[in-house]
Amino acid sequence: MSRLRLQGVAAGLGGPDILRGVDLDVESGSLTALLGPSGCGKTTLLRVVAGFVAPRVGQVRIDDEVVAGPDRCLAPEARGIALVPQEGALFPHLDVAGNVAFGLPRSVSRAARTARVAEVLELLDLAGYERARPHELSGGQQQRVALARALAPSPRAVLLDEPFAALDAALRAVLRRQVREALIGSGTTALLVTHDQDEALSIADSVAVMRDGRIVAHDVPTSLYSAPADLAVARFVGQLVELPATVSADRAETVLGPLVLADPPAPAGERMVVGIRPEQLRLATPDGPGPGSLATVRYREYYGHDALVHVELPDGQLVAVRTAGQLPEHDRVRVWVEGPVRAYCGAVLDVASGR
Amino acid sequence: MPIGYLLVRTGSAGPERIAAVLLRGRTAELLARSLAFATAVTALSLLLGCALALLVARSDLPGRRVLAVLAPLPLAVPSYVAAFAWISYFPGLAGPVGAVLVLTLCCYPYVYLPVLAVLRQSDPATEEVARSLGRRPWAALREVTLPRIAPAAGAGGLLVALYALSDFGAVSIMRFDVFTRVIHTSYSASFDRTPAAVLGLLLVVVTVAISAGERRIRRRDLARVGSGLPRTPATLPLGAWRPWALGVAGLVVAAALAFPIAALLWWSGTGLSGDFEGTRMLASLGATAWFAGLAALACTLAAIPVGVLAARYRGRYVTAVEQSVWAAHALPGLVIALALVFLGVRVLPDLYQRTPLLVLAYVVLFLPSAVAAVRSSVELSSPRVEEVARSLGARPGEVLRRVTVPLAAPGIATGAALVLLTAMKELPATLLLRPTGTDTLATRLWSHTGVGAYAAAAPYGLVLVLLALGPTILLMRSTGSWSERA
Repeated sequence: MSRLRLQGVAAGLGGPDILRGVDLDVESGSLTALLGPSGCGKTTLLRVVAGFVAPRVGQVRIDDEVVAGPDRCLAPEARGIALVPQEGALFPHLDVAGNVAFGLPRSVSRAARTARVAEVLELLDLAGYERARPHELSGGQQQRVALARALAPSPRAVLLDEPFAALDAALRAVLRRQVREALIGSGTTALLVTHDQDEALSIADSVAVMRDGRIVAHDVPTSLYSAPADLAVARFVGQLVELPATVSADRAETVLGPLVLADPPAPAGERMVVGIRPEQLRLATPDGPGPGSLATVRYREYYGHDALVHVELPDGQLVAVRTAGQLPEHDRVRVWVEGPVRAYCGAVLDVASGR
Repeated sequence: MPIGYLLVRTGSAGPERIAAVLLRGRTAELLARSLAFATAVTALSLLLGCALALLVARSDLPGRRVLAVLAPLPLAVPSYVAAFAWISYFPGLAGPVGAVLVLTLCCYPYVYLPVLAVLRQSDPATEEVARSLGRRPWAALREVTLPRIAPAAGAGGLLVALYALSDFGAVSIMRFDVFTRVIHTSYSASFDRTPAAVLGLLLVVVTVAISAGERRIRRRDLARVGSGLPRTPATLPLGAWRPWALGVAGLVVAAALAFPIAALLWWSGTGLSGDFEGTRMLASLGATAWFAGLAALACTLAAIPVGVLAARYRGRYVTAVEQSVWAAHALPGLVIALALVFLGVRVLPDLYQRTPLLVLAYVVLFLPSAVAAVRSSVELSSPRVEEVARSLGARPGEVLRRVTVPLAAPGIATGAALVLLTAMKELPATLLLRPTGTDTLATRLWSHTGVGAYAAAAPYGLVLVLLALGPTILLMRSTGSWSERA
């Protein structure tokens, strides 16, 4: 296991730079998710680390060795970084055992080879599949074989490129857990690229958010969700209810009344935005006691385990409220906010026009 | 059906005669020589075809786009025209060396084209994984990509073997006694046609055995796992090998394309100064275009129902029809022509040496290629589209006419171009079955070469190559072998 570090990496594929000054530190033995919308450069970043794209400036280090820098770019085969591409890319002419043994050094004896293959397949719950051909496996099995193949030679790090994208939702959840357990079990440093927030938050030890070729936030999942660095990160990681606010020292005045701020922002001011997670909002019958303001229910999204209720506030704004599976019976409700909220500089995103 | 007739013809000669022909020492020798010849041509074609495909698809060879355009063009040069070009300058080449050289240069595109297609479609991710697991670029290519092209190369190689065994013109011009030449000699030299029929059947047994092998290889076709990403694979540096690779590629193109055309031009120049047979040339040009056009039309009309059925419905009956069409693929043109000659003389004397019988021979010979083209193109379009047409009130025949055929039109055109091309180049069946008094470019070239009148033969070869270039270019464009990614 090794530590991966990128410093000021800029790179492109012949045209303008896709990566524009990336700094990223992946702790040894950790599983880091690289989260970003499609086209933000996360796959290119992965290919820079793997050695298929040379950075124009900046450097990539594994532990203390510079593998890509201004005067040196180590070939992919010399880096000891294993790749798990989208859809696995198993070698179709080899069976599962042949695929997994591919990266083992030639010096390894036949017996040691078989033992290592069995060990890695066991780790991914694939014991007994040694002789199966790739096309006989399901999508989830193919992905697990691809990860087993990557882990077999005990690489310094594993890179996973949207490994669950082609699978259905139920399988994805199971496979995420298996992959996480296999990676933790082998103690391998791993960098996983995804555009799925749930995936990034649920699988990773830390999440790096990427936008327009830069890392804009990098934190553990809980702080990333509850204390995002800026409004854009808050919007990208999970759902966000935005209200215009006038902010003083420790309070924000909004249409839902005065709200408590978690971290008072440095420049207090008139026109700011408070970000509220939908589960921080509460609903109650309009005539009972308590704080909050009256609102009208416009739309209900029922998911079974929970529900989203869209209500219209007195000033006409629509906000989403997450409830634990109970839908309000009447169209008139009372809405209030539970717990501290965060204030940001910026303007409220107009949901209707997307601006 | 033609083979059935050949069997009847052989059977009527009595077992002693058959045994006598088969057990002659010369027959065993002939078999060994033909097989050795086919093996040599196949091995060399595999080498050239795979090497050129790799250079075009994956290397940093300078001028590889030019190479991509030129490499498949020898398809337009009939083997006997190339043989004629070589022997007219180097009479010493006559014999096995010349025959192997000429057929290899004409046949390597059969390996080159499928291998190139596989290389351009293969997912670069597998090679990248191999690199990340410690393989150098060329090692990754060898261990991961070469096994993927093996089925395509194998299928192409067996096609080359079939072609080499069936080829008649080139081996005859090179005066190399393999099956086809011996069959033709014994057919035209005597009234006893039993030896020709027996040897023809023996050749059929060999070619059918080979094509059975081809089908087995095809079945092992490696299913691709996942669709991967549409990304161009990395180019592999040739390094110090660059000048060598460039030299070999240049030599192949020069020998397969430039030399035959230059030789034809030179001889034509010489011929034009003498007495040029202008009207006969026009007549034979017309005959070639007419027969090839009829063949393309007949094959395409026959191929549409078979191809659509094969693509859409999998049943025992359809499979049987399709397989009998494929079986015909393994039959040498000369043997088909012989069978049709026997058939014509005995059963259909009214048709013998008239246009319908020749077109029938072409259909038997070329239907498989047309069916394959129609079938693969119909398979590309979704049957859901046809179901939508049905649900909108169109009857099956109407769906075929308004939806299926228009959608498959590019594939059908490809099939027609292929038939047009091969029918223009076809020699043995044309030679035996052409209507009395009519000559095509191929047969005129043949009769002139036979008496050593190279200068008189060359213009026919030249016109034939120019004529064949048309469908070849159409074919290259429609199969995408000239585009960067297929």
